[in-house]
Amino acid sequence: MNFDHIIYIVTSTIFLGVTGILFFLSLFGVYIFVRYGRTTIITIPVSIVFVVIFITIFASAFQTLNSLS
Amino acid sequence: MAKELFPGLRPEEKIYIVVREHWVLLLLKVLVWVLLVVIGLLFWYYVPAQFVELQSGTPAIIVSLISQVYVLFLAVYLFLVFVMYYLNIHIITSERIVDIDQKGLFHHRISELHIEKMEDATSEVKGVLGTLFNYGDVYIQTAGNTEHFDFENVPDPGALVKIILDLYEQRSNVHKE
Repeated sequence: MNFDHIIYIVTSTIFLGVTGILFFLSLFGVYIFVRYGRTTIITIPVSIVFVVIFITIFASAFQTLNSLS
Repeated sequence: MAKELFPGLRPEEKIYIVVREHWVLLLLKVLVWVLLVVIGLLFWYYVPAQFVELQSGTPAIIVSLISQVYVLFLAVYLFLVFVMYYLNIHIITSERIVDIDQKGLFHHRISELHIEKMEDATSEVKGVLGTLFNYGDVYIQTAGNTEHFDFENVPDPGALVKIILDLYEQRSNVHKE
């Protein structure tokens, strides 16, 4: 196990922990927003826009993590 | 819009007022978000420029990863600020006062008060921003128990109290007849 390998393991563990919490909060926020805000002309577009933003950033960050390996 | 947010509305019941927190407070939270964005941008432009070793290889990837997590945090923060603003709502109907509180992501509370059970309503404007933009708190004391309703940071609390007291008088007159 070389130094780069250790850096990869540490970085990916921290990354997965932090983004996991953020991703859970974002998706749970969307769920709460639609559940209590009901399906209105505001909740649906706002939820769709934010879900797309969250998934795009998350996917991009995963690609960056992959390039580290 | 309020009908969707308040599914317990009775067929004969009319919604008179729907209030949320004053927009100035939403603006302040958005300004904090803007400040965080500016801090992020400053780091993004100046830190790699100062440290050449962060511009390539593994350190560059780690910096990129940190900045992407930070962007995700900013997106989540902005979304949650809007969700809290949108879901905290106070509704005054012809029969009831309904206080829908979203205190946190995992804490949702709905309180109802029949207008005829109301005993006293007080408005309070405090602070520089509150006085400038005319927002403050409304306290409604209920008869019979110690619980009271608080509408925090609502626009024009004085007018709101007047409307609530007018509705109370109307309901009292209907019951007397």
